[in-house]
Amino acid sequence: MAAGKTSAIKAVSSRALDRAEPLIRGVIYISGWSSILFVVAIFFFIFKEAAPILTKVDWGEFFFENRWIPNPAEGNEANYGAAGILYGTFAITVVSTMIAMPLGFAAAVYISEFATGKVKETLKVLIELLAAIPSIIWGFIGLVIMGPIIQKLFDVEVGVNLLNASLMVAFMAIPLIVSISEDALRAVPDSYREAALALGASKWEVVYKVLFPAAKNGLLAAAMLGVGRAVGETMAVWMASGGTENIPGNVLNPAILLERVKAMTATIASEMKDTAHGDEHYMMLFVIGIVLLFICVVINVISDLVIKGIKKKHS
Amino acid sequence: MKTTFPSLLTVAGATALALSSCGRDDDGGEKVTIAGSDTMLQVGLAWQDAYKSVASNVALSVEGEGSSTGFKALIDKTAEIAHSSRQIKESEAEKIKAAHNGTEAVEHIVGFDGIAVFMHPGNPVKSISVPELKEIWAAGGTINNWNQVGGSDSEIQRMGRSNSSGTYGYFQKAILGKNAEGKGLEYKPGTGAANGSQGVVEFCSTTPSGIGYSGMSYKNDTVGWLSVSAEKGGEAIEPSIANVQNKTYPIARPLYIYTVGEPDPDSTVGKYLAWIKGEGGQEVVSAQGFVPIN
Repeated sequence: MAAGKTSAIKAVSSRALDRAEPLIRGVIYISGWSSILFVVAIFFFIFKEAAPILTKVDWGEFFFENRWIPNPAEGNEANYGAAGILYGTFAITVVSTMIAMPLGFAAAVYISEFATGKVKETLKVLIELLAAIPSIIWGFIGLVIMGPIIQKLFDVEVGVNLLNASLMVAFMAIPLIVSISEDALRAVPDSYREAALALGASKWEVVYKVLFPAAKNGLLAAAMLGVGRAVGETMAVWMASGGTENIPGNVLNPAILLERVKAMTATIASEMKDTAHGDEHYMMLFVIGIVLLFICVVINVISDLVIKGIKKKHS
Repeated sequence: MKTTFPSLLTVAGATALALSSCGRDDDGGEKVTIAGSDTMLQVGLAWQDAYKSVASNVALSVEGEGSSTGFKALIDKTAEIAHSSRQIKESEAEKIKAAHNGTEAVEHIVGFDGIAVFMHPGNPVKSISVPELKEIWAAGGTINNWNQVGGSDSEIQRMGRSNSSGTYGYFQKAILGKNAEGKGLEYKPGTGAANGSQGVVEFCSTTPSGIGYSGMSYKNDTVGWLSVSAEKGGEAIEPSIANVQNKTYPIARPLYIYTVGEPDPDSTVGKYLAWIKGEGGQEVVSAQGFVPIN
């Protein structure tokens, strides 16, 4: 009797599942398409807000002149030369990547290849913790802790500058780079390592002659994600960069690290609230937003293509 | 197979309960939204606090993101009162008139503020003149090193306010002034934009060769300020309430409140404004380090 009841219930529930399947499939379809929809909607919104001014922008001034004065003195015209701001984002991205990549890769290699047991687990947890620190806390750290350190270390006047902001962004990007690189390194089959060791390679040679080329795919993805993080970072950059649009005379002089800069993200964040919806300043901030979006898209497309290229070579 | 329906129901119920508690301010009280000047934020919050004991059923909400945001809020109808540390611009007045069917913005002076020039507490320079300030801050100005005004040999690091700040605009008009052709002078390139009045003070307290300008009510023990003389060689006046009131301190400006049209004296806004201009509000003004209107 009991067996008959169980099988009857099983029959009913399996029929219910059959009828639910198209519904479930529909929900999943919509979820998938909705993410594409959101991305398209974001692009559409940004372009729409900037649209009225796009034809009137003096692109030469925007890209090559460092003169961002949306609220000019009496009798003057507003200037929208964003060269200094573009340089700020570019410089912070480059410097923070140069700091984060070697540190991130090295940490990943250590965790994946050399650390064992408790040390490995603790390190992984600690690095995840680094990722959990909110961006504004990094901004405070830059302002209150790193600033005075930089002032003392380099005997300079100002502690909030390119170096400070880049360090903060690097610390934010490192956990990302570490976890993805570590996954990539772990995915390399042990047979590679064993074969190399059997041929007499030292552990270090195994890492840079065998593992790095084999994990190229994932390592590049990690680097690209780190760069993407750096380009888009707002709060920490705003607080630690010094808020001044500067373009240095000599880009190869390391002293430029100690100069104040201003990034695109910080500009939008600090000025958006002071604009009235639809006025010229408001639209120009959206133009900066378009440039920012464009940079992110380009980074993603390039990394996609490179990764696909690497995949093709290997398969 | 365990159904998740009961748990889904719980989640849905909890969400509905949480959402329903938002946006509930219809408990019979009046609500007034105030937006605008960052300089006036502290006094605005002090007014809000003090007014609770005068009229407890009035809910005041105060924001201070910059004078321009106050006018923007009047235009967008998201606020009834705008605080401003500068006068309204013609373009803003036009937009307000257009948004409110021809009713114009009305200006009320509710206090006075001195703009202090802050520097690092260890800086040996104690006084400066307005023409020298112009040479430091204006584009094309010739003073770039502290040793040109009696200090040590170090490059002057300028930290100002953001482009849309009322304080930025006022300092520009009062100190930078105009060039020979009558066009307003812009700030010297390399002048930073701090995060609000507080950001200027923070910069000056940690930067030995820093200089910044901000409302004098933001002074604290971590920074020093310069006494200012109107002419080179003149008597240098220290920023203080007394000196702003007797008009000897050269860099002082009125603090404004703007409303759309003259408020009805019996309305919530009208009563609040009358209180601000009266003894109650003015007491708060001087307690906050500003200068009362009489």
